Amino acid sequence: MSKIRLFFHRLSASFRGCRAEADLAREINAHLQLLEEKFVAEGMSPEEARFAAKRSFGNIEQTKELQRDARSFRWLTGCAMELKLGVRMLVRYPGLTLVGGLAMAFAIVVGAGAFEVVKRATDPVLPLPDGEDIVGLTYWDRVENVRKRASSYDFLTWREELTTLQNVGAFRVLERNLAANGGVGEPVMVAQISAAAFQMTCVPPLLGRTLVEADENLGSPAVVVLGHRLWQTRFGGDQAVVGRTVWLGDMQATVAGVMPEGFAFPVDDNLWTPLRSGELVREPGHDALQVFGRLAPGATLREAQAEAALVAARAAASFPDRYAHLTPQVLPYANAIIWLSPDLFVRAGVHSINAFAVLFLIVICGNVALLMFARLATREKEILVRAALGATRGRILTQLLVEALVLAALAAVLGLTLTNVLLKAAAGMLRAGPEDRWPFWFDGGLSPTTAVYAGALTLLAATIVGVVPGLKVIGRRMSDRLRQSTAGGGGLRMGGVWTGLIVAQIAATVVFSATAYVVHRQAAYIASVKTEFPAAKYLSMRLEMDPEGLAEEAADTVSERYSQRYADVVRELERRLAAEAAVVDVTVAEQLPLMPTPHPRAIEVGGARPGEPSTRWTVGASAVASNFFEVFQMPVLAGRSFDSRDLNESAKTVVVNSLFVDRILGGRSAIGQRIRYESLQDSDDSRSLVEPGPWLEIVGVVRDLVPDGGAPLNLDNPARPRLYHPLGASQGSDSLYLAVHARIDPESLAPTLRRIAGDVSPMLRLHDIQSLDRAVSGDARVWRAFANLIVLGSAIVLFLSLAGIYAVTSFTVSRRTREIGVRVALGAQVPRLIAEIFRRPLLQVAAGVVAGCGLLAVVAFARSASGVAMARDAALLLAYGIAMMGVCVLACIGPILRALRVEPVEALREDA
Amino acid sequence: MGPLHAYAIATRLEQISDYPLDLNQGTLYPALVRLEQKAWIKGSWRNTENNREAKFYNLTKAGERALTEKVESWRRLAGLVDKLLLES
Repeated sequence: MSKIRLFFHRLSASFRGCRAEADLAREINAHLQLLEEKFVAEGMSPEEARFAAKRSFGNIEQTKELQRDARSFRWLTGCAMELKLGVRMLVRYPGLTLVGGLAMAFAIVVGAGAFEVVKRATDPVLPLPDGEDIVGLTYWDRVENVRKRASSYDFLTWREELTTLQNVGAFRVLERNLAANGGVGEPVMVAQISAAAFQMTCVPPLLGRTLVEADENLGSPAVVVLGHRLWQTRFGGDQAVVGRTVWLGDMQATVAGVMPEGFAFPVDDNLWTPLRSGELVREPGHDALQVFGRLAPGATLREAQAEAALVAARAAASFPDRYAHLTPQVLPYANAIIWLSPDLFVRAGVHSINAFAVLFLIVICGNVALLMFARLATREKEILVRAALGATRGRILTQLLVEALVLAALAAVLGLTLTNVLLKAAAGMLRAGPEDRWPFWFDGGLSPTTAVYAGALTLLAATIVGVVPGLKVIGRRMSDRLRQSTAGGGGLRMGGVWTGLIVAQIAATVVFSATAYVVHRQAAYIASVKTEFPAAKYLSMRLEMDPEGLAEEAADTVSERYSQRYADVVRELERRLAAEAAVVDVTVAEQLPLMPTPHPRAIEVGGARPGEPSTRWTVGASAVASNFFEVFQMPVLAGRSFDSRDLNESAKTVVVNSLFVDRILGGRSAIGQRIRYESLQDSDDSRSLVEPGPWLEIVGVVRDLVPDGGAPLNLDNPARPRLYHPLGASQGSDSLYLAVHARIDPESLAPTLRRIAGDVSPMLRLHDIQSLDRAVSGDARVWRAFANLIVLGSAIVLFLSLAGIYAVTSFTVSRRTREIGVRVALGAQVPRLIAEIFRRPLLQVAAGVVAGCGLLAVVAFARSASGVAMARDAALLLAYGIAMMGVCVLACIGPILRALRVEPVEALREDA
Repeated sequence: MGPLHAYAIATRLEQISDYPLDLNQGTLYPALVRLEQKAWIKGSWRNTENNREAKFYNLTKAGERALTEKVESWRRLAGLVDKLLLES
């Protein structure tokens, strides 16, 4: 204890030296006076006594030094001085502090952010009591090399037989309409989960109770537990919510409790209902569940894995067909949910994100080091004089390192604060939509490990920024430079690495800015798309329906009975909506106009394919109701629209748009032409290996939804050739879109719509209710956000490049101040002088711009279809290159003006 | 013996040791600061009998305890060394 106390005493004394120093001087002075008194008493004169006292005391300075050594940590006192000097330097050069600090802060944001994300993905920590003991159980299919979920048979077996695990439970996530008694239902995600989850996570409820084992029994009353977010948003944080009745689809249930904020087990869940084990079918392969459990006290993951393998071996003996190729896996829970392949390359790939972030930090710090170097050039004389006065190279380097460390520490504080805010904002954004799920363990800000890692990054940054230019300044020819400096003019030189860095950055700026422009143009194009129908008057939504009962999970193939019921419900909804006064018309389709085409499909016409094998005829295809063309104001230009004849399975008819006729049929008459898909599947990559679809006959041509204005990029282009199929009475799709043409603001219809849908069937779920133009603007928003991100990236690179050019010019000017002064005094011509100073930065800028434009030219010319387009691209590039040169040259103006303001007499006197 | 200043401590040490111990001030001052940091002594500014100000050092309670321990430990060590020398 006393050692610790001593340490802190010495530590504090290191920082408040002034008072202790004064105290020591006073004490030694008193000592000397007492000695003087003694010598006077012995008969000496006061003068003699004073000298004798000093002699008797010994070396006063040495005594003081020894006392200082005992009192404090001397090295720390030295550092404190360097620190003070560092802070002073930051204030003295505010431009460098701002540019360097912001650049390093940005690099630390990238480095720390990447580390945190990688850490959470590869080594997640569950924010639950003893979260590291919570595990997930799955299977690995050795034949298909994929992970397989457990069946209800596996879950029940594991629960009964595994002794290394306790609280074994399972869950599955469904989507249902949630309606408070008498209210309108809205879709929510429901976790059907074993009550064991609540015992395992040890989180007490905020109100009421959690699920208990009795809730899992068949015949026990249906209950739900609400999550904090849902309780706040759908029940207004009602304290008396426990005991209230709610509807989940067609099931009535009582609210049993509310969980506290932040509890979202198993993934990101806010509504829990019991998984009734009595309803589970004990049959291998039936159902797909996610199984979890907690390691029993003393048990390890390896033991649990071994026991699960034993159980699986028994299952493989009983059901070899199903289990022979499956290996059970007991994994830390988060790894069981978010699966990262154990493959070395995948792991290395994920971790290489960190390596890239560190590389980025090194490049950024290289730039800041360049600025530091330019500043050091102006302080060269000060450093040389210090060296001449006896400061060692190490001492000078330490001073430069501490200066850089002060700047880097400021940047780290700013960077970490920003990273924390950004991480929280990102988690919020990823969870913005009602259906967006984001694992609860990804929440929260920075972890302490990341803060430590950021500390290491800060040290690295400070070393690059402080030591690299420092080594250059205190290089081995320091004494030569000292001589040169006394003769006037510094001896420092800018190396090739710096030049290369600046050239590469300017090239990157040129490429980035051009990319940002192209992406922004795409966003502007999507936003500017004008439709032939008033998109703002249409309300769109996606329709889904629960399968029978809550326990019955939707199977892979939707049963005919379900399809029929779904079609009936949709038809009834259409009928009821059409009867509303505010509604002009209603239609249903697999896909609505202006929505991105998920899978463009390749077709062939009458056995013909495009001449060039590299190009394919791709079309957007969707099934539409017979009134679709009428509702979306698409007149039939040739042939006919769909009618009852087309609903027959054997009819095989399609309607195409006029763009199809122009682009694919080359303007020929479409009616009666036969076409087919190159493959039956939705997306087809390989032509030869798949079976083509059946022949389809074109019976009509309709006007395009969107005029063909030509798109800058071939992405999500709403103006594309389209095929329309008739939407049959028992349509196979389990997700349809409904469009309502409204007389009033369509979004104000939403509550009415929900009410009517609830009346038609509580199991019909309405998603993404929004006006059609909003659906389009959402798409444009994504592109714009992407463009802005690139703009931000290029702005940072441009900013650093300009700072680099400024540093180079400034460095040149400061090194040649005396020469400039003399030449001006001798009557040198100003333009020639400017040209000479300019030459080096100008060459660097030119090299960078040429490299960047060259790269762009390769891409642009490869994309150009014609000579005219190529010439246009070349002209654009030339203009862009000149503009970039102009911007970069601007950075040189400040130092050049400074050079021209040099007074000859002043310059000579300064170096004398 | 009450509180003493550095000069008095040095003089006293010389007197007690019959003057073979000519204490260097470079040893005394660091020793005093170490003892003060360990809270074994406490310094305060007062006037001497000749009305000169000096820093007087006083033994604290912790200092007294430490002194007892150190004395005991020294005696044990000295006794042991004595014994070893006598027996050899």
